[in-house]
Amino acid sequence: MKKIFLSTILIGALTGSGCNKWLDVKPVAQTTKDELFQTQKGFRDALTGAYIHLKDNKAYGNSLMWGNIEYMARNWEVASSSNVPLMNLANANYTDATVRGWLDGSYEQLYKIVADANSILEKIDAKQSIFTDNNYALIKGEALILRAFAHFDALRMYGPLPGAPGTTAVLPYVKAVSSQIVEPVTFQQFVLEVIADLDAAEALLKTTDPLTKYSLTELNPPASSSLPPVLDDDFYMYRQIRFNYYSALALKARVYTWMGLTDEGNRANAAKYAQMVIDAKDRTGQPTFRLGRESDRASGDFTMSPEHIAALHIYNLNDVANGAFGETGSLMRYDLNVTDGYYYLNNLFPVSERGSDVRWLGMWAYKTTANMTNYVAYKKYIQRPNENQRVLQVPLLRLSEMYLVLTEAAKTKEEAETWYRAFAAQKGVPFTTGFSTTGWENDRKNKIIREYVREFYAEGQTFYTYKRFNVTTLPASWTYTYYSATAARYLVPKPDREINYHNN
Amino acid sequence: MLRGGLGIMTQNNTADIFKPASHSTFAGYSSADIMRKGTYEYASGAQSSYTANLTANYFKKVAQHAITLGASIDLNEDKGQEYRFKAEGFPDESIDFLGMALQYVPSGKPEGREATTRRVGVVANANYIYDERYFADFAYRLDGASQFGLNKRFAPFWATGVGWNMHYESFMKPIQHVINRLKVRASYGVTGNQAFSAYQALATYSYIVNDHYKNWLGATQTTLGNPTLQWQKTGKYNLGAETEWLNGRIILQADIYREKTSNLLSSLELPYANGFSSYVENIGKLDQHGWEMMASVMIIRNNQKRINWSVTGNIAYNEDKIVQLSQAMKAANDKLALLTNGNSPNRIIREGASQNTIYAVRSLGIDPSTGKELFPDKNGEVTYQWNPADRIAAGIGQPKYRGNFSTLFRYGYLSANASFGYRFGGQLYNQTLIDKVENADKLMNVDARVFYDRWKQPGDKTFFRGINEVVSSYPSSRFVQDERTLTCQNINISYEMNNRPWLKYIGMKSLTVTANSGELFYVSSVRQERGLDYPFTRQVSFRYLPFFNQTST
Repeated sequence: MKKIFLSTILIGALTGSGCNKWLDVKPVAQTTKDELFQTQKGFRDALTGAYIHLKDNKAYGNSLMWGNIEYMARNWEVASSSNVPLMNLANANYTDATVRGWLDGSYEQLYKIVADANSILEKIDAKQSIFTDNNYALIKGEALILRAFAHFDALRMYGPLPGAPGTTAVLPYVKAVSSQIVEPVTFQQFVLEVIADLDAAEALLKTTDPLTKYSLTELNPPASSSLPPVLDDDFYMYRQIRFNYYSALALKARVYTWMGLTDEGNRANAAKYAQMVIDAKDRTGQPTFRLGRESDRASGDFTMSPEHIAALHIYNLNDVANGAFGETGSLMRYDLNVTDGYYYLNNLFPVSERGSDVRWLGMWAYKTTANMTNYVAYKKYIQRPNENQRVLQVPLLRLSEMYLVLTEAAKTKEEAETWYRAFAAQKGVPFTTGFSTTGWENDRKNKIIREYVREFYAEGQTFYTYKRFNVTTLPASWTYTYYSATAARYLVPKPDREINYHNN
Repeated sequence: MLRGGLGIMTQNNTADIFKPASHSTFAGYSSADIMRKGTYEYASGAQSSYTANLTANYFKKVAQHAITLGASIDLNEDKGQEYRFKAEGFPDESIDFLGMALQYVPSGKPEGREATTRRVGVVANANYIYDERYFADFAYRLDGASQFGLNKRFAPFWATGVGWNMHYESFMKPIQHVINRLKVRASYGVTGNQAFSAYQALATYSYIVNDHYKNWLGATQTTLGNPTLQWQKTGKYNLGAETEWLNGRIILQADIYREKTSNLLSSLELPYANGFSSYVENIGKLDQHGWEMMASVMIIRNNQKRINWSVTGNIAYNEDKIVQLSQAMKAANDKLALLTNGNSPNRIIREGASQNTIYAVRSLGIDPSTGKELFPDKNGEVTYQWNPADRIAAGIGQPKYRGNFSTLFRYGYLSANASFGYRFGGQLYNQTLIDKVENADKLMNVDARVFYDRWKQPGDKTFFRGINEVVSSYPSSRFVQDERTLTCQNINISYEMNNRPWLKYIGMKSLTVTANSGELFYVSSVRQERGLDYPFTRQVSFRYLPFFNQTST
């Protein structure tokens, strides 16, 4: 009897709480979600993980920056006709299985970034007490912008033409990490969700973001600098390569433009937020961002880093750029070496206008390899030879876009000309006579389209610009392959898997 | 009686994979890479487990009543880990010592894995026997395992059974010289399966070690986790009989059973929008039923002359059916049913069908006039168009009947044993035909059937599509074939020598010589490639087993 009693005690002890703890086995090579989000460092690491996903090849490290998306805009020639999938991609033949694989991959990656942000967002409020200083606001704000940014690009790519969004559900706006299937929402609801996240981020970052106080130079000290950094905590530095306060504003300007500037509310908002970015000042009263200009180009800063509102840091950009855009790289244009050196590029950059255009000068060059001499390589991402002076970042949002938004959102010819002139003056585009007197709006539209192409070449914006204006043919033969498009080119299919899950 | 036990097991293993510089892998290396030729992959792993238990037993016998009561607890931990790395640069063939490698492989990094699982169980059991004739058992256990969701770690299980030794009954006495033993039994029990991966229920993050963002390291979500993941439980009814005849010369055993598994565990696919492609979930219920029979007959039994010949065989029949699926799983399968998954059939599971059902579009064969495959669509119209929605249950990828038979013959010191396995009543999807004949790349070396057996001109009646079809073949019932297979698993001959003068002379007590063959032959109604994963090998091994006398001086 005594023994039974003894074992009963033992059984009781084991099945108690201690036992449940013993069964709580944690993996050694990984950490559990609950464990990670116990510390501020864990939140920071999860946020960094999201940025690493952002620079993945399937997202802004290639496909959505200078890779697939620029082929879809016909900015690159498919040099090898035996590359059938790439041909199909450029020809908007989205039924090709390999092409679908690429498109699905980018979709998957964007929503992976969303899930990264969501995991942070669903845990951060309950843990607010563990954060020191402004960490809570910064991390939460950045996570919100990440979520908005990735969703918005999913909408631009896989969503409807913004001019004819319809009222059917388009894509899911995901705000939780779970196994529950999230139903898609309509275009209108979707953009409202994007704006809501950006509003929340704006409120959090407005007074806490170091970029609202310090200058880009202060926050991006060169590696050789002997001065102490302005902030002790390295995590607060380099705000340009993180989704900072101004990136929320700039992204809003972009979203309202996408929603359509013919609507007065959108127009006013787009102009308001673009203006706020242009007006940004540091603590000494100097503008935070300035337009890129000839001196930047001449010094080898081809992506014009003083105007990056948000950029993505790619530590090996030098190798990546040489591989993709260099002599043996595959990203290139076809052209004919005629009187003025080029034929197709002459249409994009007319000879009479390009004399001091910073997007033209020294940016294009024929390849020198035998049989490749009709292909033009692009220099934007090629880095300075001096390793310490490289700008290892690719722009996600630039100040020049804010000028173009304001030009497009201007109600009068004079106002539009003022904004465009300010832009043109820095970029080296002659603009003395203003927009044409007859049908100035149409002239403005054509110039805007052309500027988006020239300015954001290899930045993944051309395709969205064409989609926004539903461009069917280009004004002149900008490219070797004549660009003609129907709406079908812009209606990029969602993964089959999503269509099946959502039955639409 | 109280008893405690502790078991500890540790096992270390290492793997060495060396490829000399002349290995074909390095044939493409340029002259600049000559010093990189030759690789050595080294792995070191350790497994350990411990089990601790404490048992209390109570036994009492009063007249013809015997009762046993027991209670126990047991704890168990299994741990495994492995590290692996690779070095290169063994330009000279004669050096195969890891320490002499010139460098690690470029951008190579050490790899490894680890898993720890823990289990705890509390058991209570009772057993009652009356007069050696009637038995009754009851057992209850509460088990907890680390692989399940935080909220669902513990689950109760129980089992009960009754048995009747009929040969002890008085009415059997007159025929006991013929029927030596006859036992009938019935049981029901619920068991849990914990043979699942260690961290499946946890939401995990891992650090990204091969990339960074500016000066910062990042962490990424690896699994979604499922805090409500439950034990997979199986309830089994069993009814059986065992009997021995003619002093054990004939042994027969028969069982029929029915198994109901609930909370089936499976990986479930998610839309990309969820950020994870899959997670592990309890997805439904499975029913299985079947029977098993075993017979063993001693045809010759002469112990004096050491001549024996026995034949043993068994057959098992099994059928399974998914009886219930979760809504999520049904939805996922409805979607899956509309997908084309290349040229292998999708793994679709449906309520009311076997979990091994092969879904493929019904084929009407190859149109002799065009060389294209004909399909009946949902409305019964004949079409050339393969549509994933037209897929039907075309077969079951699991044999209904399977079994073994073997024979043992012994004459003096020579013994021979042969064993065979067989299965039939199921179907197989013949992947070889689709990959190597229909979708073969004609620019490369191909299966001869591509040339001889595919349709070439109108009027050809063939099994395979036209040779110039460029679109891929998708799963159709044409490739689902009935499987009937017989394998010779093993043949073993041995000869034992002992107490021979010449053995004594060399100090040996006995010597056994054995010849053993691996799979000797394989005949099947489905002809397909076995691939590199499980290649067919014909091997014969010989073994000498000497025993030496212990000599004392």
